[in-house]
Amino acid sequence: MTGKLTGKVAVVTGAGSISGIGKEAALAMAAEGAMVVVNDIVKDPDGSRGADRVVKEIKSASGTAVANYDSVASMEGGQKIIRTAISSFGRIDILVNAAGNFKTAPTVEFTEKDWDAILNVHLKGLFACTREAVREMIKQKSGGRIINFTSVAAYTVSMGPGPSAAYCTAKAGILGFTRLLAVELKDYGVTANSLSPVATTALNPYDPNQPGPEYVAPMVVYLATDEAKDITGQIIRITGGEVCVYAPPMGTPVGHHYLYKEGKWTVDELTGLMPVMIWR
Amino acid sequence: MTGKLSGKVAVVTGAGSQSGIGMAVASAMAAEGAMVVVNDIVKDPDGSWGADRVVSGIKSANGTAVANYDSVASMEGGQKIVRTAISNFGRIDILVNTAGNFKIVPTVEVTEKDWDDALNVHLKGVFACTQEAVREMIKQKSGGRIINITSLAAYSPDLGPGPSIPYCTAKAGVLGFTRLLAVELKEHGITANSISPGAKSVLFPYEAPGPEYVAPMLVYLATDEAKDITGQIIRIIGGDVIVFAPPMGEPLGHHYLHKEGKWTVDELIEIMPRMISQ
Repeated sequence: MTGKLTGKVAVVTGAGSISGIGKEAALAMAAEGAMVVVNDIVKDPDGSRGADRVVKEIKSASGTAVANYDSVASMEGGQKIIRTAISSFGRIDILVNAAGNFKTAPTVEFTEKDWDAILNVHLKGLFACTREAVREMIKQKSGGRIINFTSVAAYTVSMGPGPSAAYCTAKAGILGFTRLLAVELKDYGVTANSLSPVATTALNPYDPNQPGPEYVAPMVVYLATDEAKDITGQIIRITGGEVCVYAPPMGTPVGHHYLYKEGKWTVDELTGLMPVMIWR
Repeated sequence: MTGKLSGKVAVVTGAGSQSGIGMAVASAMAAEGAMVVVNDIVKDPDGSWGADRVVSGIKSANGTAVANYDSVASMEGGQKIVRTAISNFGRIDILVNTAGNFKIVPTVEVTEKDWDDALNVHLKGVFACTQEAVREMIKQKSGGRIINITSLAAYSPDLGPGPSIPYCTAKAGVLGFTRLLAVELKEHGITANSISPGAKSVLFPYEAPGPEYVAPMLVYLATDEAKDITGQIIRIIGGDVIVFAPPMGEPLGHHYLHKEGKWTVDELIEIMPRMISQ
């Protein structure tokens, strides 16, 4: 490796599973010289901490990393995770919000408890870690990188046994969160992007023929480099050898169906028009 | 009016403000013959319920409506709102989730309470009302309509009046929720669509056409004629109608590259600056 992230400090949440995108991102960033906080609440089957295993793997490859076991799903947890970077390495340059959970159930049977569990990890977790990281990045005055994970489930519904309304809501919410962040933090040199990966992982074991999470890691590393300083507010799909930068949702109406009239539409007019306006 | 919604029962959340999309759509649906539950927690300056004022307005135009004052932001509140339709009118055919709130704060200053206030109303509220409504609609076996409100803020936050990350997150979340519903409920004849309106209202007192421009689209989506319109994101502001291309859909208009095997960081450094959408 070529030290593309030498001197930088990264936090990767949800990086402790046996097989996952967070873990691969943590390993790849450490291999490029970043000092990494490996966060996860998960334990291995033998009861030991998943984050410890990943830290060990990084160290045995001569990398620098520390483990953190807090849950992202509270403001306090998010703060503690970021403070681990500050207290161990003195700063934070890169935040990769990879922590996630998944549950499938029909909407009419979905419980409030499950709804809260999904939204707390994916949305409050994202907010908690990001707010604390951005506060530091603004103070440091040297830019920063926020890398979040959305999913095809945010809009096109195809994941294993079928995602839940809660998961789709959360993964779509991440897009709105990240897009606002990109606009708001441009002045500070902090970029924010959403990755939509497809990979066979501990969380998504349904189709073993999908590419592995290691295919996703180079994109995370790239977005963290200085070279990517102008890449912000993007939604990027990466699965195996495929890269797709999506057109901005609801953006400039290129490719959209557009109609205009002077004055108010009537229901009758809409009844005639709308069937030819929709996307099949 | 021509009775396009005669015999149908509609619930409109957040329909009690002095000027808003919920109020405009509740009135428009009642004018087309729907029996309407007008829900809102809001009170007028004189302390009376906003929902009562809207119900009075509907009744004085010979329409049928009842008021409900529960908050959408809990599972129990959502259930009570939908049960108000069942107990008064015997069924529910149409749910319009317009209840919302909005607050401008820079991200680093957003408090947990700000965050929870926004997500509880916009996301848990949509879930709570929709789950109860869909349970009934499936039992009724006569289809149904779910109409949710998103915003340009979901993906195009030019910061208009200022940043609000909980609002942007919530309004994007509504899109994901609605899209899943559309797919999941197709076999039950229940449609689910997202409307991205632009209108001058109490919540957004900025220069724009009035909420009455938005109401016909919501009425249309509630009619039998719109039974095949589902999973769409539709913007309506004044005389403009846009049906947005599906976000993250088929890569028409997207920038797409493929290679056999794994990308290297160096390759990405080369290609990515030319891949982004400016």
